[in-house]
Amino acid sequence: METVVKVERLVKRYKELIALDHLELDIKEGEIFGLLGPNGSGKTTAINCILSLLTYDKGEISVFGKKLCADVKRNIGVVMQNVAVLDELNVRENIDYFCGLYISDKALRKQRVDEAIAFAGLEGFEKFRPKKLSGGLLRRLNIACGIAHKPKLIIMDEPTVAVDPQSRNRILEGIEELNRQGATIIYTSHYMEEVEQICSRIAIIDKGRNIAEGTKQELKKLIKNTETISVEAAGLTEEQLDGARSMPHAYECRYDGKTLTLLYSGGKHNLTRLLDYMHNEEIPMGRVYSLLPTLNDVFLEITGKELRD
Amino acid sequence: MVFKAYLRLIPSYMGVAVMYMAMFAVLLGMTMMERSGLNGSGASADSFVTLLAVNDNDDTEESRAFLEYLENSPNIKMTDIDFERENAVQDSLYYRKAEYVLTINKGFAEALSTGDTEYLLSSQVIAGSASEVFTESFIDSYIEAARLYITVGYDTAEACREAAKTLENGVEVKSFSADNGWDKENTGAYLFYNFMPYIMLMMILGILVPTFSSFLSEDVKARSLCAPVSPVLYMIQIICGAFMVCLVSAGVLLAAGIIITGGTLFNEHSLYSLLQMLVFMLFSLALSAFVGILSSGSAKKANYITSMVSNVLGLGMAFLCGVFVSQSLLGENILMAAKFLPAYWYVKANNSIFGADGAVFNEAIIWSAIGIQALFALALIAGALLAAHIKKGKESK
Repeated sequence: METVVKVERLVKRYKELIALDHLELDIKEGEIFGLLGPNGSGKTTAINCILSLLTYDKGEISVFGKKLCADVKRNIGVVMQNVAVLDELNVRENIDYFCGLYISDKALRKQRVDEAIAFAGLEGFEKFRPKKLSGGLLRRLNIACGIAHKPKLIIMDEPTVAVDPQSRNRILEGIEELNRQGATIIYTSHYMEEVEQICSRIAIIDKGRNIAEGTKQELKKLIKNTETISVEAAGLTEEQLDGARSMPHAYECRYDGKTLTLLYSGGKHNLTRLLDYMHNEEIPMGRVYSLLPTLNDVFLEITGKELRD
Repeated sequence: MVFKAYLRLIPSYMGVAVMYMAMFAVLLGMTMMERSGLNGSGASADSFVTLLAVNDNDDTEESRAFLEYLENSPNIKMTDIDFERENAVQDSLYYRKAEYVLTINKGFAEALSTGDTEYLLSSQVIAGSASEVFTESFIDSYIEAARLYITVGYDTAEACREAAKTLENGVEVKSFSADNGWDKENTGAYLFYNFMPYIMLMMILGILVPTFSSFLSEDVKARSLCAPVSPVLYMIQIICGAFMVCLVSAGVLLAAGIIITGGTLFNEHSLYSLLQMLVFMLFSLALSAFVGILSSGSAKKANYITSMVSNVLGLGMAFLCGVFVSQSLLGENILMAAKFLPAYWYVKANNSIFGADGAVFNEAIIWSAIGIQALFALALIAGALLAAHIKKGKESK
C-alpha cells in the first residue's frame, strides 16, 4: 500500500515545552488511522503541523509523497476539533462555501453539496443556521463541510467531542462509509472505544511521542494482561484467596472485601476454571465479569497512567 | 469564493445599516427643516423671536420712536402686560407670556440727549436666556446709533427716527446656529456632509466588524486555509468584499442625501467633499478591520466590542469634533483633544468647503485636513496588520 502521510522526526516546541518529540507516523492508503492519546498529548499539534497550520522546529512531513502545496491540499478534507462554520450562513450555504474553496464548477459543486447533505443526514435542515441546530447536527454539519469535495485524505480531529451517543454512532458509521468509498482517514481521539471500533491501525501518542503503533490486536499483544476476571464475592478467607492466586496464568489478585479481581496473562478457559474453584469452595457469588484488555490497559501499562487522566 | 461568501454574510447585518440610514434621514430632514424654516414657526433660518413687553414711563416723542423701532423688528413680538397689577411682570416671565420686560424710564428723552445712558432703561428677564443676549444687543445698537446722530447734530427726536431707519435696513442678528456666512442653498449639502462621518462610521462598524470577526475567527480561517487558498488571497478577498460594502454604503447614503436635499448635494466644491468622504470611509474600514481582528472568533465579543467602539468612538467623535455641535461653540480644551480624532479634521475641512461655522473656503486647510484623515486611516491599517500579525503568531505557537 502506498504511503499517504509520512511524518519523520517531527519536533515542535512551545518555548520550554516540547509538544512533539521526534514523532514518526506512516499512514497508508485506505487506512483509518487512529491517533490516540490523552488531552495535551500532541495529537492536534501533529495534525496542525501536517496541515501547515503550525510551523515546526524539526522533521519532515510529506502528503501523497509531496510537501504540502495547493495541489496536495485539493485532496485533503479537514474536520476540525471545534465546529468551524459561519454562523451567518445556513447549512447548505456553509457546505457550499467550504466546498467552493476546492471546486469552482457550480454544477459539480451543487451535486457534491447535495451528496454531503445526504451523507450527513442533514436533509430538512438545509435552511437552518448553525445556531438553530442541535449539538449532534452541528457536528454533522462540521463533518459535511470537511468532506463535501470528496477528498482522498480526510483528517478528523476529535469530531465526536460533546456529541450524544446516537449522533456519535451515526458519525462513526459515516466515517467507515467514507473509508469504504476509498478515503484514507486520520482520526484523532481520546475516546479509546471509538478508536478501537473504527481504526484499522492506531498510534498511541503521549507527550508528543509515538509510544506504540499497530493494529489493536498488535497493540494488545504488547502488554502482559490478556484477560481480567472480576467476581462479586463477600467474606473470602485468606485460604480461599490463596487458592485464587494460585490459578494457572493469574499473575495478579486484588480483593476489596466485596469483589475479587484476577488478572491473567495468556491461557484458555480461565473463567471456567475460576468458577469451578468458587463452586467447589462453596463461595456464594454475585455478578461475574470477564474483560479483555482495552487500549486504556495498553496505555496504562506502557505509561503508568490512564488515557483520561 | 471567499469574496462571494463574505458578501453573503452582509444581509445578516443589514438591520444595523437600515437603522442608521433611517436615523440619518430623520436627522438630516429635521435639521434641514429647522434651518430652512419649514418647521412651521414661520421664522427664517437666521431669525430669532423674543416676546417683549414694554412699559413706557416717559411717553415722549423719543420714547414712542424707540417703541416703534422695537415693534417693527421682525425679531421681536410685542406682548401686553397689565403693569398696574401686582406681580404682573413676574407672572408673565414665569408663564413665558413675555421673555423680556423692558421699562422706558421717566426722563428717557432727556437722558438720551445728554448722553447719560445708564438709567435710560431697566429690564427684567429670564436670566441667561438667549432672549436676554439678543434683545440687549438689539437695544444697545439702537441707543448707540441714536447717540451717534445726536453727536453729529440731530435733535433727539430726529436722531431716534434716523437710528431706527438705519437699523431697520439691516440688523444683523447673530444666530447661535452653525450656518453663518454661507450660502443657504447649500444648507442640505452642508448638513449631509457634516453628519456623514458619524453615520458612515456607525454603519460600516455595524456591518464590517461582525463579518470580519466571523471570517477571521481562528477555526473558520484555519479550515479555509486548509483548502488551496493562500492566506494573502484569503485576506485580499475579504478586504475587497469589505471595500465593496463601504462603496455601496456610501452610494446609498449619497442617493439618500440627493433625495432628502432635493438634488442640491453637489456644487463646484463637491469633489473635495467626495474625496474626504472616501478618505473617511477608508478610515472606517480600517477601524472595522482593526476591531474585527481583535474580536475575531467570538460573536459575543464582536458584538460587545462593536457596540463599545460605536458608542464611544462614534458618538464621542460626533460630539467632540463638531458633527452635532459646531466647532465654533466648542471649548478650546475640547477642540485640542478633538484634534486627535479624524472626525475633527473632517468637520474642519467640511466647514472650509462650505464656508460654514465662521470658516472660509481655503484649499490648503482642506487638503491638510484630508491628508491628516488619510494618516489616521494609514495608522489604523498598520495597527490592524500588527494585530493580525500578533494574533497569527499566537495561533501558530
